Amino acid sequence: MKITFKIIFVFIVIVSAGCKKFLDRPPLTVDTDETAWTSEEKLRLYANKYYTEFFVGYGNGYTTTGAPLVGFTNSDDMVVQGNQPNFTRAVPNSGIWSYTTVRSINIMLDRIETKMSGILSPAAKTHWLAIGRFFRAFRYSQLVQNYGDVPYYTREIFDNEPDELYKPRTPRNEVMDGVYDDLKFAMQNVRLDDGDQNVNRYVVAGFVSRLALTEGTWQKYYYKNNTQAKKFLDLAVEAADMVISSGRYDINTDYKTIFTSKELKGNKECVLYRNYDPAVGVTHAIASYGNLAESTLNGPTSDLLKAYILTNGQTWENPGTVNASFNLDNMIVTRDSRFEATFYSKPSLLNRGAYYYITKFLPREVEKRTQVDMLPMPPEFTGDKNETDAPVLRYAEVLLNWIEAKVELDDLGGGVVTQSDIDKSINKIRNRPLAPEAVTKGVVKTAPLSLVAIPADPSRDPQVSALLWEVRRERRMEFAFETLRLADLRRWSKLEYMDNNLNTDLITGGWINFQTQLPSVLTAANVGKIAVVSANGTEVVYNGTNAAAMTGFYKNLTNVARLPFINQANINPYLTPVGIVEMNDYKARGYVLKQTQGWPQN
Amino acid sequence: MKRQLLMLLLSVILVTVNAVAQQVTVTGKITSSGDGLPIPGATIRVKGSAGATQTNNDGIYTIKANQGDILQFAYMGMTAQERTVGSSTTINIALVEDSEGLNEVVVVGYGTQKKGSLTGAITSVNVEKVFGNRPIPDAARGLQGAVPGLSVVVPSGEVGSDPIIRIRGQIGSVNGTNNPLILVDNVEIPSMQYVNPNDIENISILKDAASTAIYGSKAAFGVILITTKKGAGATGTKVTYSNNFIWQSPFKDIDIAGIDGLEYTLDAHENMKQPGPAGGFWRIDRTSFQKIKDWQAKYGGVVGNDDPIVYGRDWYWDGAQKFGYRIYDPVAAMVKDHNFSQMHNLGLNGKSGNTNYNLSVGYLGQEGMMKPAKHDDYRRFTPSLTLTTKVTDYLTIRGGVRYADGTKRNPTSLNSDAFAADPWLYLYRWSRLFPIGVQEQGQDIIDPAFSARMSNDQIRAEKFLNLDLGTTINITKAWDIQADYAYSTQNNLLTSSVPYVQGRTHWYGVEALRDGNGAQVYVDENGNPTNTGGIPAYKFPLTDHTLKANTYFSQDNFRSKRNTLNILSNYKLDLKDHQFKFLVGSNLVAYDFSSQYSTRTNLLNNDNPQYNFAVGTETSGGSANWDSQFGVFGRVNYAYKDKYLLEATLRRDATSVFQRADLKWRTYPGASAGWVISNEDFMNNLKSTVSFAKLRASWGFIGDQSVANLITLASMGYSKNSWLTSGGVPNFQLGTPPALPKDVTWQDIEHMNLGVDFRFFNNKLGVTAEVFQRYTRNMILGGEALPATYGAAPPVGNFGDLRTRGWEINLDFNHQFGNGLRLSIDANLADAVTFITKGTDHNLAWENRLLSNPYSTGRRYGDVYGFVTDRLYQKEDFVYDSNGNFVQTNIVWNGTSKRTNKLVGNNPVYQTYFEDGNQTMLISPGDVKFVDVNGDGYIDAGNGTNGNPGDRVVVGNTTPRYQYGFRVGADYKGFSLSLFFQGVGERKIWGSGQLAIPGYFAKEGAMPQAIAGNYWKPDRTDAFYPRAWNMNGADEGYVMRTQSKYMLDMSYLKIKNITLGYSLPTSLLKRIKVANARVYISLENFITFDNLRGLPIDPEAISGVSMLRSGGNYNLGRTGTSNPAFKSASAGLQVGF
Repeated sequence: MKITFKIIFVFIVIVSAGCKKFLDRPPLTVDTDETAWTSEEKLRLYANKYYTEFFVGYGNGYTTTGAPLVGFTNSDDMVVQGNQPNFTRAVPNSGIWSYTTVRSINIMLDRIETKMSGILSPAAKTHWLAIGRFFRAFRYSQLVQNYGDVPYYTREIFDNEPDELYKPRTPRNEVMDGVYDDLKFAMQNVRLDDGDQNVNRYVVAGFVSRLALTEGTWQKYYYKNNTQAKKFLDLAVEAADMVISSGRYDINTDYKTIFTSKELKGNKECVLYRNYDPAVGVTHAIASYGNLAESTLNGPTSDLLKAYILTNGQTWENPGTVNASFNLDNMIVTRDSRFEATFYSKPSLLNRGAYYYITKFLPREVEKRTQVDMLPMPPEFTGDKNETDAPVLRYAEVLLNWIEAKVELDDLGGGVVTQSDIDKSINKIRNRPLAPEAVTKGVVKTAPLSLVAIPADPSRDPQVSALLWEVRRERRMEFAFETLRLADLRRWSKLEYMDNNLNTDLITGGWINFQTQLPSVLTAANVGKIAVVSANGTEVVYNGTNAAAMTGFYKNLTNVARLPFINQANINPYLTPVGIVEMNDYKARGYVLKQTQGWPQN
Repeated sequence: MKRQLLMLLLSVILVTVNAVAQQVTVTGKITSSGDGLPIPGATIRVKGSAGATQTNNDGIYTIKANQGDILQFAYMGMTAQERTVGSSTTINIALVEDSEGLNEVVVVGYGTQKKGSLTGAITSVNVEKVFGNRPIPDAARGLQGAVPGLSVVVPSGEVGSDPIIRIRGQIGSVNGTNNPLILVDNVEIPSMQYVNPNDIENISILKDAASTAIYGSKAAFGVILITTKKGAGATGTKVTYSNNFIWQSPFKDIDIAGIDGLEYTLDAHENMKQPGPAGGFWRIDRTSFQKIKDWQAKYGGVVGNDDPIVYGRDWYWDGAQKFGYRIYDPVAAMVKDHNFSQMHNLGLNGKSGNTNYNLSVGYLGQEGMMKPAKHDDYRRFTPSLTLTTKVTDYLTIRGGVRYADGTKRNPTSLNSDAFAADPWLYLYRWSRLFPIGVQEQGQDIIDPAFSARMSNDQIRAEKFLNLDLGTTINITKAWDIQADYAYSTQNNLLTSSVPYVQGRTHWYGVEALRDGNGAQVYVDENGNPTNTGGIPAYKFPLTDHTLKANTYFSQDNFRSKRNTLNILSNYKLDLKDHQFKFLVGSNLVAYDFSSQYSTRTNLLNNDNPQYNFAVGTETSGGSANWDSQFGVFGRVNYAYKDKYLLEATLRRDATSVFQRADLKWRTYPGASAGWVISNEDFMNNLKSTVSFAKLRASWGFIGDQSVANLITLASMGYSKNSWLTSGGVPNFQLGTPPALPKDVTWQDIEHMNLGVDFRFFNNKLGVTAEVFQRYTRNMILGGEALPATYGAAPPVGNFGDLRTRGWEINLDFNHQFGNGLRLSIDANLADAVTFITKGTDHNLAWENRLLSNPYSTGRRYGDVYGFVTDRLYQKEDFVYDSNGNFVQTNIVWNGTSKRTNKLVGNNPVYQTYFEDGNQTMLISPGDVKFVDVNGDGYIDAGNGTNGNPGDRVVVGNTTPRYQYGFRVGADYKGFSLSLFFQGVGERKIWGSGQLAIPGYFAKEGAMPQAIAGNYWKPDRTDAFYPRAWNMNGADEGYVMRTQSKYMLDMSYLKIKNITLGYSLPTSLLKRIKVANARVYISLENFITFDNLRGLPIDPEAISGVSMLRSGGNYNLGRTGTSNPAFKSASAGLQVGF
């Protein structure tokens, strides 16, 4: 037995000696926080993940969150067959902000300072700090727009710092002052050119014009804080100026082409676009939702149709010599050219909300191929196989941000808006080239807006100046069915535009002469279910015998209005409440999470 | 082959030789009483003498003896017999199987032990009996129900898949694997598919830590110890061959609703006050519903399932949407109703000089159930060779090769880019208005059957090779040293390709049907073209089912290797009354793998998919990892007069998984003791009744390190991003580091076991009962929940504790009647319950812990919280006005006011919690009425905490409880019959998807007839299911919340197997020079009793679990949507030469 133990002992000694190495097997295929921060290339890879998060474009695959047309159906531009989308009307059981991105960016900023000083050149370091601060400011802007006051952190918080983690909400202005500094820093320090499809200073400035305009107008209308408003509106102007004065961008593409091109590379209207390519499996579904084969519940409201300005620059109520009728054929040639580029030329049952089919994201040649030539649908316009590139930040938006900020600054001590400002922005957009197919149809450019002849719009909100009204109208036409409308209404404090009781044009759709255009709808089954509404609001319900009278804005009588959300106790449609579970969690741990402004605290 | 069990030396019986009588030569044949087959290698000795002989391959022996001598006949596993030599020189003996013999040798960790001396929780499986001649493709399926405490669940009917195996409870840790360690001849194998059940000689299930501690770092959740057949004991060569021919069909009717389902969809649409027609891609309204019924009356039985679809007769386009009139049969199009599989085993086995050898080749060819697939099958080829040679008296060398080559083929999902689902999901997705298995205008329509048919095979080729080399050095008779080295390697190649496919698509718009001249075709209501009148006809457009750019050829290669070195030394010390056994050893394992995949798109050749025919974009990637373990261990066994038994083990383990040196090493002890009461003198009087009685107890500590080595680091991975350069090249990205884990180290598993073994009536009846507790301490868990401001998942650490308690009972009974009829009964039953004794929320007060956290402190694992169903509301429950309309009332609860239908009675309990306040969801007749559990006069979910669960209580547990198996066997004169029952006493889940949840996606339309034929309607008020509702793809909504009545009761009893066999008489076989022959028929999985009320769901199913997709989200996690489980009937033959 002694021998046995000797043998075993020797064996153990030998093996143990070799063991140290034998048992040293770290993961082979990942970097760690300790090993990753070694080159600018890796830092760039780290920052790459923010692109798809902040620059959604048309989304990815069937994921359409944040994408136009389907991601934003709750606005006064859209009528939905059935129930209209509602605002949140009760505090949810659970739901709160996400700080995942904030933490990720704060780690990036920290590591640049603490681990990469000897690795990055000073210029590179400044650039990447600026990139990080740009994304951080972007994220906080979004958080603030949702929740108002939010906890503000500029560093990674650890699990042993409960007082930090559970700290009270930071006042919005404090957060936004931080955002302001980040944005300023980014605008001054991001590289002018950082390579193909990467964020450069103009992309930053373009987004700053949006973020700053947003905060400026929130401050002006919601918080009524003119100091903060001016601060951010000035920043918006400054940022937009930077983009405009660069001379890199222009309005030189016909409207529809911007949304339907397979290739937006080099397009001067795109400050930033997202490339799609089926060869690498990156495609989207936005075009399919408007491919004239897919039926949809969401269509344009009459309210939107009425907002399109006439080609002579006037509103439909004061048409002058232009025929202002809402007949679709007529609207195509008498409304601003963007109307023609946004809708299919015939009423269609496929759009069940309005019978006007939105083809803004469908190329003209596909429309012709399937509707005129009666050829099969190209597969890349079905399902999630769409390859068209997405404009992420359009130069037109920068121009409209710029002019709107200028107009808003007018009564805050900014300079007076001049005709030249209007010409550089709104009129430049109105002078955009027309598609040859549109010209063939008889579409013409809309007359320029003149400060001395601003249209007198009887439907104008009396609280809004005539000029600002036209600026806002221009945005509405320009960005129809994109991503901005609801956010615009919020920052203008004008969500009441979406109240169905205050605005009856929200539940009606396109103008239809049923007898000639959609006779198949006039069936016995639809008696008492559909109606038409005239331009001045008279409603005629289909009763089976009044087919001849069935001309007007289409109204589906089964549509249900939005539930009340304006001036309701304990409902604030402007800001998002946090969940009860989260508030209870704070309480259980001896902290207080205050409910969002306008929502019940208990 | 049947009787070639491992040869072991019998203990020497010392009796003085006392022989002066006349010597005679006795011959005879030794057979097994069970099947009448000869037993080779049985030992015959003259009682009291040292001389012994063995039977040859035909069971024949010859021995010289004196008249009056007593001959002893013995064979391992059989009850020994004695005969006195008389005048006859021929003595034939039929040995009776002694399956529960206490002298039977059980394989334990690194050694063997007499069954009677076991002190730990170890079950030895009688492989012959349990596997028998059943058509089982792998050992795991064969073990189902055979061992108490061993849970084997077959979650889908996918052929070639591994069942889920758990020992003693379903969970041992949240982050560990929970898988038992499966060892074949002491070498770990990654899949049960890699060992041919026919090669297995013995399986031991090691359940408690005292037994498994010797295996150390990977054995925390039990060990399945498989010993394969080695060479024969007797000189000579034996050839055996057996086969099974198997006919399969789905074990359960798959009844997908037709007209009733469409009515459900329509009713749901109307109940929800939705505008326009119901349905999705195919619409339905009251008018078309009538047409559907008319169609059935007119064409039902006239138009066949696969007759072409005709416009006008079968469907109609109203300018914006399609209405179908005809219903199709997706099950007939997709599921094979009969199928053929086969198994063959060929063995060559023998001994030559000092060398034993065993060569075996097994073949399995199994068919899956997907009818249109080019292939849906699994084939496996398992050759193996073992050799043992005794070089000298003290040196034995052994070596072996084990190889498994398995190939599974099934269609590549053409939808993989979109839904990560295969054709099975689509069979169970769309209403029966969706054409399937039919053509239009001579061309195929894109449907699940078409997708399956047009797709190329996905080929999963897995090769496993194990080489081992070992030696035993017998230094003295009592002391040996064994060293075994094994190299095993896995080479898996997954090939898939998506071809370019076109078909007529009925998802979107339509095209005008034109004749050869381009003129619009008009048809009448029968679909016949008309010259005058009629309606304009349409057709489905021909489209790309797969885009050229999405076609591809892809291969994914996985290669792993594992080196195992075991060195150990045994020493036996026999001091008469005191018996010692010592074992010391070491175990060293190194494992690594690498994998690589590459894909090239734009496949030009559909019929011969290869990289060379793909001309598009290339993508590639791969992975690699490695780990290693080392352990030294020792064990001491002590027995005093076979009465008092003690065993102690100690093991020191190290793993590479934990990076920090101070966290790598751990020491784990184990001890067990037994008391054989029946060997005490005071029990002698009871010997006739109590043949054997033993009490035993064990305690052990063992470490688990079965977590990824990533878990200890703040790792940052690189991945592809969908942001493209202008040239279309995807960016890569580097992930955000997670919160730094807190010194993650071993999870400690403490296991206690108490057991009793009793045998009664001369060993005929045996009872084994055990209770155990397994405590997982320092369980690796995510940290305490932190507020969203933390921005990351809380760091993991050894924060949790978990406790499993359970019991097991096993009964066996054997009796041979005087007429030769032998009867055997085996039964077992086991249960285990797990509690999370410490979760991440342990710092929160009990009342603040969330119900939604399955690992909350104090939670029983698997508990499901839900409402308690009372009944369905009926018309009489509501108040109506004079016009018969509902009277409404405002109900205010927690500050929210909702207007709802008024209930009769003074203080009715309202349920406006389930309403959205929009006047659509209004509790009405046919909706579920819940029990007001907390008596607050209102039904709600509280705030989701233990303290305020609202009206929710535990309504079920998802773990299988009370698992049992029951076998009855009888044999008589060569005939044998066995029946095997297996079941689960209790298991309840809240299902997922359209097969389980009423109204899950009424718009899409597929649902079981069991739901469609039994939901509440004004004229069916006694229905089981509530009124029709469409939840738009959610498993819970409105009143269809997790609740007592609609939990799926997944308990079941299956008659797993019925086998009838017959061994041909030797006299007959002799003439054809066959040593033995047996024929049998076997019915597998034939009858199932379940409580699913006709839902087409296998009660064993686990939602979202299939070998085809890891991560539990196969077919979007919907219950029962995988390859249907099947029953089979088989017939086979087993011959030996």
